[in-house]
Amino acid sequence: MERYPLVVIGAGPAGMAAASVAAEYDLEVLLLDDQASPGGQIYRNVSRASADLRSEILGREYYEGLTQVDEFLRSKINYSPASTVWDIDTERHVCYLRNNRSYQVSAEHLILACGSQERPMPFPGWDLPGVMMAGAAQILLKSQAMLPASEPVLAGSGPLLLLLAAQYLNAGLRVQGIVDTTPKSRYLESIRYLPGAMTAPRPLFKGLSLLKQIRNAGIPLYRGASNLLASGDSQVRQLSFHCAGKRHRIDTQIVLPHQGVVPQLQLVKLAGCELTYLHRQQSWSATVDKYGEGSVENTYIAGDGQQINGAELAVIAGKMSGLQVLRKLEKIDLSTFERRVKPLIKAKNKIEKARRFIDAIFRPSEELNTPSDDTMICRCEEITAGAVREIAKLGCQGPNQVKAFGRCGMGPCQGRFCESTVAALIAEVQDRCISEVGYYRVRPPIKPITLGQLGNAVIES
Amino acid sequence: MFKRITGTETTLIEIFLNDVPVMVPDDINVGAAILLRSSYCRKTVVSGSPRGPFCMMGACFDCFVEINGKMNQQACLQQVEAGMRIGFQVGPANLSAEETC
Amino acid sequence: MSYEYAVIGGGIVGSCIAYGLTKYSRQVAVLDEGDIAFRASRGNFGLVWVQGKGWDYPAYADWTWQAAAAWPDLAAELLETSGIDVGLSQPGGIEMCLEDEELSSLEDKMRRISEHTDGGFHYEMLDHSSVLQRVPEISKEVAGACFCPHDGHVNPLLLFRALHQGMKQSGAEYLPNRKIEKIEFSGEEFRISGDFKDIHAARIILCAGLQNQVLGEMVGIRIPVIANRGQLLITEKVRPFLKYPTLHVRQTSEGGLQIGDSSEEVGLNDSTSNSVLSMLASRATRIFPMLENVQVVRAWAALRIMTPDGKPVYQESESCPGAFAIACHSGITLAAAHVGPVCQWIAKSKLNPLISQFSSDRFHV
Repeated sequence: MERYPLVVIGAGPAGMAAASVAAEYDLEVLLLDDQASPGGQIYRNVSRASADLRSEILGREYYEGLTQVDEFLRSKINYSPASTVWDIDTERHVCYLRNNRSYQVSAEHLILACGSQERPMPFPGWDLPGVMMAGAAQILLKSQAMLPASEPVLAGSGPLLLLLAAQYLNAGLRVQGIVDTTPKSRYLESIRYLPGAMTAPRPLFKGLSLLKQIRNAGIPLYRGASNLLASGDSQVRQLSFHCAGKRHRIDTQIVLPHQGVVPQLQLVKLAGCELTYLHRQQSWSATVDKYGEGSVENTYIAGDGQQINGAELAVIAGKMSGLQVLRKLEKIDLSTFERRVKPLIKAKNKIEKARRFIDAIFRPSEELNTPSDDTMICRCEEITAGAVREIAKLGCQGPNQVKAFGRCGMGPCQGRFCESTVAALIAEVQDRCISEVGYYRVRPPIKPITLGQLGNAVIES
Repeated sequence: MFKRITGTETTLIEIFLNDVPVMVPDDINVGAAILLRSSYCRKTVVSGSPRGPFCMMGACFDCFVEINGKMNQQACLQQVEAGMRIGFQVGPANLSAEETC
Repeated sequence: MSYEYAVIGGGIVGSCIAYGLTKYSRQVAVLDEGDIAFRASRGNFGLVWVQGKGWDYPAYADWTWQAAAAWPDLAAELLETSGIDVGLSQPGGIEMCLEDEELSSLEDKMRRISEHTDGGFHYEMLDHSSVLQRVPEISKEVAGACFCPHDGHVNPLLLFRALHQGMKQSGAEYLPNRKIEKIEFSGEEFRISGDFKDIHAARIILCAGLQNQVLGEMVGIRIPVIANRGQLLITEKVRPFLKYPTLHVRQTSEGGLQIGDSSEEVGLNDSTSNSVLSMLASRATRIFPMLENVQVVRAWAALRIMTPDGKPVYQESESCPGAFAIACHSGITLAAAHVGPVCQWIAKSKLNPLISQFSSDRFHV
């Protein structure tokens, strides 16, 4: 089995930063990423997208990713794209598939920079073709230069909806409306974090300018919407919802829901690291020390896996973990370490403080966490919220027993799109706090591998 | 369901979608290629209801299709190639049939 | 809180016992751990398996055979009480052998079982071409197999849920998050304590799997058990093709292929290891080459509760009468025996003479 002093998983802002800083001091780094080009989801395809797309449609923040990607590609890193990690154990043995073959490497230090995924947003009809996560639609724009073929409806909450609507406007496409499910109470709840947000005000101003662009374009904004329902036979035809005391119906072929992002923790769990429930972000995240080291020694979690804080902080977190690895391996001395880490910590604190406002205002609505009984919550095994409530009534203490009793979370996505809902439903039925209900134990392979590939896996016992 | 931004420079290649030859840009993934023609790509193994690509980042597994005879490939994670044969899946794979062909 | 029966452990064995005891008492409680625990019940293979068991211990062969024969009644009863069809199917089962030596040693075992079960037990040794007639999908590598008409399989998770639903409907009380620290016997009743309000019971039944060793000592039962790790794979769903469950591969009612039968002693470690998963995958594709491109959805490991001779233990305490302990690794196969004869024995209503053959005294002579 090949051994590396450092293996980084993920080529988003955090992973690239960690690998680049390590390479500065000639550390031998292997970086595995499942995409074909670096950038992660945030800067997806930035090195290949056309200049027009980058600057005129996607905007400055996306374009900025190019600098980091260029730097990363220039560094001396063993970069392995299109490599899908399917298992990690607590001794930092990493198994991945590349070109239909399974490989195994051993990492002295491991940095997991697996980013985030969109928070599931279950409502009746979200499984219909034509309903697609808004982030997915944005990926299509970034990496495939593709736009909806007809005017879509955006629904949910979070800055991405405004950004996507604006990017579509830049590309000459109007959205039919933005159905904003942010409960009205959130505005009041978030006011006290506003001063903090002003310490790093760029996201706030950005949000306001997007809002202005959308308003000026005359796009309807339905605030405080609830009871979403997507309907249609084999394809979505209509989105209906409650807003301002009445039922609205919009005929559409494309519905793009979104309610923020949550950390992707499959590999973090497999690596044996502990998680902490972050009430502020309504999600689990890796338990880490100041430099991102998890509860398993020499295993680090950088970027959104620590908590959702955006690309800028992901870069800082990646660098900090990389520097800590260098220090431990005695590639840099303590004074170099401290000199480089100090400004990073300062910047980190500032951004974190500003983030509170976004967390508070865009905290998902209770209704979307614990949807109506007829809503399908497990898309793989097609299990409804009602079925999960019935099982929770038997006294199952957490998602794992619920999974055993009702198959929820047993499909190929391994709970990525039902875990948070299942936990919320158990908490609701049993009147408990979601943080004590717990989370799914993850099972390898976290990406499908064929029996043939597994049987031939390069294994050294 | 989706279209390419007008004016995007591109080379077209031929692939087969459910045995029908179609021309698609050579720099997109299979999921995107499907979305140029259709919002749906399979019928589920549990209830047979229609599904289409959903997350485009390999997390949801809703874009499972048959690629060059192999079932359950994540369409959003594979680039198109000339001559590629993509098939929509209806229900679970039939192993016995796969063996005979 | 005071009960007539306190069942310690809410796994398959514990819920069989609790469910069975509700026929004798309205005061049954099940004490269980929380969501995270070593739960063999969530990780097993789902076979109702007779062949090969008890070749060196006649009572075990009879016990297993009787349990499998009583399974259809249990399935029907559970459907009625819980509304859940546990998917029992007993078409006979097959153990495939890839090597000739395996085949002859299997044949030897089966002959021995048949000799000491006076005619009730049937089996059929199959050469390659006879296996091919029953399972046309096998590869050339299969040397032969044993077919046993008493074997079958069930959906073990639906069984687990049906038992929980059934025991709840029959009035048993489910008490999760009760990690037990102490059991004391006053001469009349048991006091169970831990990080929860004390629970009192006239009788207690230890069904706590690997915990039974520690808990048993508190009530004067020595019950040596060790953890034996088994690892399993499940594939994506495919159209039904495999009519018979086999020891290594079975097709579930949902369509997925479950692949298993590994055995390791690694202590209390229930994580998977890639060398074993790889071995399981490779054996499955050696038997069924058509599975080569089928995708694995999930792999997991669970800890079997293994007694020194691998046979079950049913023991009542001599020093603390009213305390019982049960230890076994075949909670699915033996489910009907646990709901029926074992509960009759605990409730002192009827004694199946085989039970006395499974006393833990056999380890301390």
